[in-house]
Amino acid sequence: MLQIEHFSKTYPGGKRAVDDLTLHVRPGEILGFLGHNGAGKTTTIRAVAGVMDFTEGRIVIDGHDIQREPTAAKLATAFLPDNPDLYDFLTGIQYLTFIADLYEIPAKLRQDRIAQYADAFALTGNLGSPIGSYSHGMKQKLALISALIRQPRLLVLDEPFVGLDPAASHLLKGFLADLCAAGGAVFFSTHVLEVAERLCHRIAIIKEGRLIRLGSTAELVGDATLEEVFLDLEGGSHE
Amino acid sequence: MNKLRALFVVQLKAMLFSFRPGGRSKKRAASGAGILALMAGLACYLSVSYSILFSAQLSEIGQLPLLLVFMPVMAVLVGFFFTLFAAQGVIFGGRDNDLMLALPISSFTLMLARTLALYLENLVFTLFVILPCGVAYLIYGGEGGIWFCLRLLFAVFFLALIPTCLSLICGFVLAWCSSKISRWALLSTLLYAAFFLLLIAGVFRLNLLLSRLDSQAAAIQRVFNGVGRPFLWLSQGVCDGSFPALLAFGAVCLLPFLALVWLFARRYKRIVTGLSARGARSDYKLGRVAAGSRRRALLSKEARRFFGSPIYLFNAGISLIFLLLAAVAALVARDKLLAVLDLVEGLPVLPMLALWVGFLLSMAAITASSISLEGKQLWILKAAPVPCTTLFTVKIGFQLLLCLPCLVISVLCFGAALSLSAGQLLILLWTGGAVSLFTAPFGLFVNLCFPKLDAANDTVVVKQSASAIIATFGGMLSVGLAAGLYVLTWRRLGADGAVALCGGVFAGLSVLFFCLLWTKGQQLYQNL
Repeated sequence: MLQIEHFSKTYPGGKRAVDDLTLHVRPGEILGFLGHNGAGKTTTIRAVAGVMDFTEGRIVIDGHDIQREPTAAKLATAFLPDNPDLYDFLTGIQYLTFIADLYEIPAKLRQDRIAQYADAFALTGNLGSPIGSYSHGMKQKLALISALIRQPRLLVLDEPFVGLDPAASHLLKGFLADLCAAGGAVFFSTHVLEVAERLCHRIAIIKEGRLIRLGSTAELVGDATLEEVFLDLEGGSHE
Repeated sequence: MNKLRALFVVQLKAMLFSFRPGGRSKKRAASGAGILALMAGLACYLSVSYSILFSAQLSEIGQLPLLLVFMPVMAVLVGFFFTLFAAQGVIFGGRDNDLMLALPISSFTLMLARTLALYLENLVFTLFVILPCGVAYLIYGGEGGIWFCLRLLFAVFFLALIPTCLSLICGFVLAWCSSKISRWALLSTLLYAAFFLLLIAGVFRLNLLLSRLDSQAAAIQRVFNGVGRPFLWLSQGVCDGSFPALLAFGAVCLLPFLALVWLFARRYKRIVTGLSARGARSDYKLGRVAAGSRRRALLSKEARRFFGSPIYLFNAGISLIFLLLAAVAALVARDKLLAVLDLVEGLPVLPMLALWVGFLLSMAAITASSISLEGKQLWILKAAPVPCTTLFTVKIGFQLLLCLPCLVISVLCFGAALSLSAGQLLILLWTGGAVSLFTAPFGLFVNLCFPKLDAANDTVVVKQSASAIIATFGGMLSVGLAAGLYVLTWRRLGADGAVALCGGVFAGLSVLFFCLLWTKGQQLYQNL
């Protein structure tokens, strides 16, 4: 579903944020992307989502190269940044309709999906209000609904559980599992190691832009906890 | 005191930062300083023009001290105009309110630091208006020498308090209305319209005043004996060296300022927390959801942003409103207009009309702010399955959707009013259309070169950002250069032919900027 091949990114000034990263996410799989602050997670995720230009490596989503066929690749993807800023001047329903128009979701289908996800996240009653009046959590939920109504082949999330209440977090985990059961894939970054341990089929750990560990969660964790493994891999900086 | 100074420096930096395009490079920092210099230059230019006009007439009738009444009024208006929205955004709607109010400082100190930053901005504008006025006063025979200069400088420090007070009050009212009135966007648009009508009326009155200054001087002095008495004190204090008058002026400026700061500061926390609370409904019922195309969705978003933001609408679209108003006025006052035109034999009507129409169309810099206004929401468009060329097309198309109908309506009105031939109408449409076709991609390209994605509010983007200023002045300059081309070619090509040639040049420029957008523009967009 997602193939990242020898991806590197160097920012102006010479900082190499990601160095020769190769990573595959299979259909039906949830892959957790872990690393310390500044390790290169967000850079990778933004490149996968097609919101950031890069010159080294190749990223293919559902058979479409994100640089050569960006429109086709993005049609198969839904991306949410870590702190999604939405259009404050639109109401919730106007924003969802806008996104549904961009992704060409038929009217009946979008109506059913909006009803399904907005009801689940208990946001239907607020959809008529301007987004500017929403709390941080409500904006997060609206952004998630806008991603889920696309029923993407690949869901790319940067810290999706930050700002969500426990009920919404629980719901989201269920929706991610549903998406994978339907043949989709999820690629997400998180600092919440318990969530990664319980939710992910495989885990990738990145350090200073380089992939230092990739494997199934069971393999990676073994008899320890993910937190212990993570801290061990991160080495001296946490000791 | 240290806390106040630290806060003041932070607030001042925040205000100055708003002039800079996004990014950290030295080039962008320099362009921010360039924008500041451009605005200061504009204030200076206005001041020099009006100071010389007023001085020439007032010195003839022996009323030169009145210059120090008129120009301070102008300084107050200019300062108020530039800092009104800063007061609303920085003092009452600052995004860092939570952070600041959580610091171990009193809300009084915070309010004072923010107000002082606003005062300093006003002081700069006031200085740039008053100093040229002082020079003009001395050149046209005003007395006082160095003492006059010192008294003027002293007065300026107090004068800047007046626009600061006005901005504080109006900024609070605007912030209160925007948080409490659900249809505030619509209401504020209407208020803006009323404000601009008043402004136009004021400019006409000012021109009238300039033409009859000799007969009106005594009446003007009577007016300033009422509410405007502080300005008379200023004039007496600075020109005549009346110390009591100068002190009275200082007191009249300072005391209301202190009272106002004290009043707001006492309840500052309550005010800002009250203003940040917005009412929201939770009784929405999902009905039928309509579907549309991508282009329609993007266009509709552009329209919602443009018409939902009075500051965007009236800054980027004001010239189109002027164009329509002028065209309708020409039609309504056709006889008077023809009578004026008859007074000057051989007046080149078509070129003048083309210059006027082109000038107004070039000022419609809607696309020049449209990328910057995406701000932190740009990720939505960048992650969407929409090629950036489609996005460019929609943004340019939206500007043309506004400009071209205005052009057609105004050309038809002018044509009917001035009895233009069909050929002349076509030339006017061709030239105006070419200007519009140039302005839209030009503005977008400039915005891609100088994006301001981290602005605190729309006002900063629309009024102060580098791209908005460069695109507006660049458009005006291009029309000025086209006028030069006309002067060079009209003898050989005839007036109509020379105007058509200018249209051709704009069409060529339009093709150039479309090509630039479709090549370099795409790369610039990807790099955002």
